[in-house]
Amino acid sequence: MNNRIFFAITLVVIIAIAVSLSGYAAWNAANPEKTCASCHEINPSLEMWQISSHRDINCKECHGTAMSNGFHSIKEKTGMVFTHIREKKLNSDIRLTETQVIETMDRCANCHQEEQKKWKSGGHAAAYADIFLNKAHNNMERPYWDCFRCHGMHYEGNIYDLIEPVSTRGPWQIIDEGKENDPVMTCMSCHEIHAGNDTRKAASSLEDPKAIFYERKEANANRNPKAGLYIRADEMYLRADHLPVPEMYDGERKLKITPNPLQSVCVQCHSPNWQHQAGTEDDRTPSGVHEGLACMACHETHSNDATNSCTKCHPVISNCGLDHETMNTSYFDPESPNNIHHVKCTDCHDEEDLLRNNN
Amino acid sequence: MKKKQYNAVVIGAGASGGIIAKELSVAGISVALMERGDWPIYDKHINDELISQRTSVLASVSGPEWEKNPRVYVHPDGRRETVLPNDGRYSPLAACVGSGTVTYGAMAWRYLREDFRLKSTYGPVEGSTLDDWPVSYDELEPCYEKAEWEIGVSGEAGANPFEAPRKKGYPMPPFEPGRDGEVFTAAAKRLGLHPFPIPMLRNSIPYSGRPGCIRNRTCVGFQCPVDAKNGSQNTVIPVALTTGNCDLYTNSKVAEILTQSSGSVKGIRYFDENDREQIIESDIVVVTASATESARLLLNSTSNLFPNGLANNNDWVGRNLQGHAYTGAFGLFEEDLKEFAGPGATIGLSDFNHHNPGIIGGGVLCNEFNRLPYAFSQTRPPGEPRWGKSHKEFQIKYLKRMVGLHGPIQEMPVFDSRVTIDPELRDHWGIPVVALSGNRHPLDHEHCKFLSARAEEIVKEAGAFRTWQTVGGRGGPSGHQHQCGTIRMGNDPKTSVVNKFGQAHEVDNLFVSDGSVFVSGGGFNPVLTIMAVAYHTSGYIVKNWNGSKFKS
Amino acid sequence: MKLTDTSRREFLKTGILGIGSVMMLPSCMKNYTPWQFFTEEEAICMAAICEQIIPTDDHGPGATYAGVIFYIDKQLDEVFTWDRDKYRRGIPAIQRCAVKLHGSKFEALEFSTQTDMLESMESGKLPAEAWNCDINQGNLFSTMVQHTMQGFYGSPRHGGNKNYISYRLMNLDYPYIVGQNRYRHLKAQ
Repeated sequence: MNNRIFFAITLVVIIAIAVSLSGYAAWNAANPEKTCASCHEINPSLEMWQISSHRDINCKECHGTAMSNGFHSIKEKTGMVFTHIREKKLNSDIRLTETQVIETMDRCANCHQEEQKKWKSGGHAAAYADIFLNKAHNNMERPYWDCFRCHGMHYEGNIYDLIEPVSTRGPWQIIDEGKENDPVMTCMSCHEIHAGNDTRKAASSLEDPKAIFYERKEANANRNPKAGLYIRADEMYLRADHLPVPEMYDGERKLKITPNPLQSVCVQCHSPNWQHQAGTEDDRTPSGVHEGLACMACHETHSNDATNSCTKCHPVISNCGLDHETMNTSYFDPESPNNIHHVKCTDCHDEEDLLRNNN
Repeated sequence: MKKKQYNAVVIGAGASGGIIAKELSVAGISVALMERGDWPIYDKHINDELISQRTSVLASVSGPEWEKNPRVYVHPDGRRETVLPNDGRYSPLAACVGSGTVTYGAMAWRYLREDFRLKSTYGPVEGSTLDDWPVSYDELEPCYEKAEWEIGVSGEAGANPFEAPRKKGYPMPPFEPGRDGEVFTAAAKRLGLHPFPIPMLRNSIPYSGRPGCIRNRTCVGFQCPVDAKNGSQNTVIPVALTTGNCDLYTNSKVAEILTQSSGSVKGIRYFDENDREQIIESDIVVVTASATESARLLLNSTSNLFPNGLANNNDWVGRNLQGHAYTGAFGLFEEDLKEFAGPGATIGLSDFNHHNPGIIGGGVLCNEFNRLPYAFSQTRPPGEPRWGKSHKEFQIKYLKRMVGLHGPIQEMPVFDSRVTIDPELRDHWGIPVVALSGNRHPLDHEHCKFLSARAEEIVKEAGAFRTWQTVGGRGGPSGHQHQCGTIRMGNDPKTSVVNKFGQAHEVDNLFVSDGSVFVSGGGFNPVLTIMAVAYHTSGYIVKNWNGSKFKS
Repeated sequence: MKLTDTSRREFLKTGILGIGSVMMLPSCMKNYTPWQFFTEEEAICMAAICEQIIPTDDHGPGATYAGVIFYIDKQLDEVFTWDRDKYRRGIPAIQRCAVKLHGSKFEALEFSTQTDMLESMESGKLPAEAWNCDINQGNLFSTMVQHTMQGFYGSPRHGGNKNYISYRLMNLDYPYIVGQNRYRHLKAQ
């Protein structure tokens, strides 16, 4: 072969690769308005991101690039371009796939390591196998469509795609390959990553520490509560403070409900029966002595850990001279009949004695 | 064309088709169950009022697809208008496995004894083909019982003093009345009436391996998210499929029933999911496709022996189309009465079903199913603005404070209220479509006035500060979701199409079993009676089956 | 929607198209418009009509906040094809009447003047010479009323009822708060 031609070809190839690589690098480094979001269907997402607390984090940090995950991401991103050309899609038609939602979780953890660790230590990190292969439940009744409202909100398909056989006899298996260990609740179940929010600012002055408290209180009053609910039915989020505050009852009596908007997220899955009686079905709304408390008063939000929660409010010794943490409640003893969520004074004390002592 | 062979082809996997497929396949008779739609998928239409089966604004939950399935509505002046399933005049019924039983309100009424003997009870009616049924309540009673236990009904036996005798109670306890139900119950009792909990094809407690009802707000018009509503798709059809004797053909549109030169039927021609034409051969054919579609199928199946359509040499197929004019009264109250727990309708009273002064028949009165926000925005008392500030205020103030009682009136069958085949219009598969024409009987409106007046008395007694009546029963033709009557059963082959077992007078191996065989529609929601008739028909088929045909 | 569901067979085709599309990118960079059916002018007028039909008041936000106009725009594009012509020719007719009667465009009129105009339109009494088209005034107005109600009281997935605002106004919880009844069964057994 002619060396000069060979050299020329090699040079051209090298230049082409160099141009491509530098173009690719430039593309990834560019303002998203000029790249990803130059396509009209991405525009509304871009606008949201620009006022979100993640506004300083580039698209690729969470969504990856065409090269970030080998063949998989090349296919993914080309697929997007292909869809863009082939089909007419509005922003409201575009959703992350469940795979993308799960992949993004690891990228969340690049910054939110602490939250991820806590989440992993708690019940909300349950995987598909934990939920859908639960023998006690499956023996009782067939799984149904609505399971995904809380377990697997981003699952693409219906219950009959996920698990078989659909009977109460068993045995059961997950037919959707590789789903066993995927989490049923992801970061995006409760967090809308693009949601508008102000970032926290430094105190305007350090002169008067008391003033910082009030300044912060005022600033927080209008902030996004940093959580919301991904509503599978609508394929959209509602911010926690846009979710309904449940009206809850203890018998006929209407309960006080915390003004903490995060409680509205919890109750969506930890929900009462249709009559909204506290403590029924999956509900844990505090009644009795703890009426009006938010879940978060005792439970850490990501791990749900409630260790040492009593001491946040109670002195060690109660009015009746007992140590709060060792009183006969479900906090101390899982078998205790006095559930910490709705324990009442009269569960332990005679009602007449109490009234007499008060008078 | 590929040929497949079965003992029986059942056309339409709805309330009756599912039951017949199950009864036959359990008895060892091989069945091809044909369904024009697909399995219903809850995830496709969650909670969405604009795509509910009752409010088909943007699409119909369970089909049929609008553009592919046109019909013709014939105006009184003869003008022919093409209508799609999003138009009430189309009389749409769901096209999916289970059909209407997936999304229905699920009231489970047994008709009263008089409902089967209208002509004997009230005498002939001018301008109406009113007649007695060839089958009595007592003959159907065991079939009602079977429907109540196999499909699953919650109710309180004996709570309705007007109910005909029953041998066995309900398998599940009744549902609670809810706030408006309590108020209406008390008011009706003060007036000396007899309210009772509505029997429902819905699980009040876990039943048949499926959970109890969660009172989902979006119940009627929607599929149940926890599968606590009992339809043929989650009861009898799965049983039929487990026998191994039943094949379900979804997305399959039957175009024609094929006949032999002898006049008996030999199978069907249909279009499969890829719109390819296919043939299935069978020993018998059972048509269970609804009053409009069953009639269409017979009328479209012409041959030398049946130039006017199969089993139609007396020209009775497609005639006497009936439905239910809904009529009642509403009131505004000072307190929240509507809890929006699903489905909303809880109590009924049967005091006005029969023996009312001056009218023939009557109807049951019930409190309303949940009226969701958009539907409510289209409902206002007479004289209230339809838009603007006060419309919005009314919506916010009265969504939970406007409640009423209404019910389906017993309609008088009219010979010229009918289903015909449009000479020109074809559907997506080239099959000639239904044309609906004719009028309701003028008495229907009079009867509605009576029932609405009774409803208003109760609503007033319940404490409404403002009441008004909504009186139905005008215009026509009737039909809609309670469509019936088009392939009448009777003893006289001159004035009916099938005998009391649903067997065609003119064709021994052709059966029809759905609302179309009804002689009259009753003053109740019809589904439990459709189911009972299906058990009656399939019992007859199984009993007389000798392995390849009938013993007779 | 799955963005990754292209089959393997399509992948090559995809790749080629993908490269091509990057070269065509400038054509995607046309100015972003939120409208699928309406023009900007039509949308502004129609949004004002929607706000008349469901106004903001002491109870809370109205059609504008709820994004009803986006619902109508989306559905005219995707579903209500049979209503397109009515809107396309009807909105200019409304504008002609507004200019003729009050000397400015509909959206620029006082709220109460707009209300009066729509009441006339509802009963078919806008001046025929200014209306000057064969669309029935009352019929178009009822269609607009219906579509506005759908956009305000329907599900947000179709473009309107932002944040389920109408449900909040009516004190209907959404998402519906109701638990699964499995624990009751456990206790029963």
